[in-house]
Amino acid sequence: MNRIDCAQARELLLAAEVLAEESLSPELQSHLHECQACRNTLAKLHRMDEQARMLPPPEASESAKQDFLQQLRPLPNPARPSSLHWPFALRWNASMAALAATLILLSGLAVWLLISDGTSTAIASDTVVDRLVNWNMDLADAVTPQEQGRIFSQSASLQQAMDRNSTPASERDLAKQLLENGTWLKTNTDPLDRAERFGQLADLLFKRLGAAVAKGDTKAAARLSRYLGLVTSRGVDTHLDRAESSVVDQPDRRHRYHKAAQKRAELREQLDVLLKQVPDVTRKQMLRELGLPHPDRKAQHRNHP
Amino acid sequence: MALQPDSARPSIPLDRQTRAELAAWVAAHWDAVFGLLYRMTRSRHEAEDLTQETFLRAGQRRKSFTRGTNARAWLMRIATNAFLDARRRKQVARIEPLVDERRIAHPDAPATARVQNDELAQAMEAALGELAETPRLVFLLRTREELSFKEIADTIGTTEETARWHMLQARRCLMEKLENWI
Repeated sequence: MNRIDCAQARELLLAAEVLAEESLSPELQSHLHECQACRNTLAKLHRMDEQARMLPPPEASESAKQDFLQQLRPLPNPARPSSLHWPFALRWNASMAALAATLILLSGLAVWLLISDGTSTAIASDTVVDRLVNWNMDLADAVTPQEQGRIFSQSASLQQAMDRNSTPASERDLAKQLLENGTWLKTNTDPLDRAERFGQLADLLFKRLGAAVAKGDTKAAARLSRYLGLVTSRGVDTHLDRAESSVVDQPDRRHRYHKAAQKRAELREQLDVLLKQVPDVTRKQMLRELGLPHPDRKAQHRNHP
Repeated sequence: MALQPDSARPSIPLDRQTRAELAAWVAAHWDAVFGLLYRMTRSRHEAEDLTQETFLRAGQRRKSFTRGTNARAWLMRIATNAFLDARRRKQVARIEPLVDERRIAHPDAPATARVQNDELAQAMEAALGELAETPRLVFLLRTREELSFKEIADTIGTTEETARWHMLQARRCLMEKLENWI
């Protein structure tokens, strides 16, 4: 091993990437072992680097930060109505909400009657889950407490539909979650709370979607893609948009908002990875159900996962 | 309802996904990025502009960011490039001092521990301000942002050996200036 002198040792210490003694070269460690002066130099460098790390940040430019955030705005979407809702969701008045609720009930009843010979339990259970997803979306979109109450009143019939059908255990689990979510929506109207709640539902749907893709179950993948598209756009995105202005002056809520937005971004990344794993035909169908444009096609911008 | 921008303020159209990601990055890393740029430019106004530029570029390049890697380091590289680009375009003027050097007490004067820490911090800031730009940048990226010399070299467009040399210069100067403090 070459011996080094103090001048060489000092240069090596000044240029070291890591000042921990065990990270230094054997020659330098050997010199330090014998030289108090160079050990003092190492100690000073430690203190200096530590002091640099501990320097307090300059007074944060909060106004510049808020100014920047306010400049970010969504891309204009000419296909969307002026409300921030799903493209074909309307600002219903009370009578239209009642009419829609009745139609949903009647269509569900018609399907149930058609299939009540028990030979198509898979279709029946799909319909129940379809209805539950739509019911959640309608609750999320409801504008007035009266409208919400009217939509929520379907919960009993939905519960009965769940109980009557021989729903497979896995679908029953999802149906139960959707029923619980709807019940929660009735009493929780804060947009940030809702965005977080729908985010959890989206995570659940994504896990199921991943499982369906892994099994090669294209029908289930298409159905779950549709649910996921609805929940992310009408559940998460809409409520994040609504919550945005309410979090500016509240650090705790702002933190929650950014966390929910980050999760949303992560979900999109995970979806991109998943879509790359499926055959092209399945991918096109999933993209259609998710409401996402096909990458090969120019598409009008829509609110999408 | 989304915030409505002031009509006199330019607005930056981004898709929903990018806006959400950018907002999350701003929440987590704005202060650190601003801190680096403030120490480099020595101008609050310039640092604010470059910080905004940094996050705009991050939004445009978000697809190049690999999930699971160090987002802060990635943003610091973008911030460094924004600073270097600005320096190439124009002379970055020193508009305001980072510290009021008259307030730095003589190191041998009696003082409470807290005051001494504040004064040491001020002395460190002043000493950093007197470094040449590249050694200062390398020193800050290494000590405060913990970028490796390889990452620093890639960022500033030089070799690892040169980055190491700049670090040597920075430490040598700082050791001289802070001799009585450390």
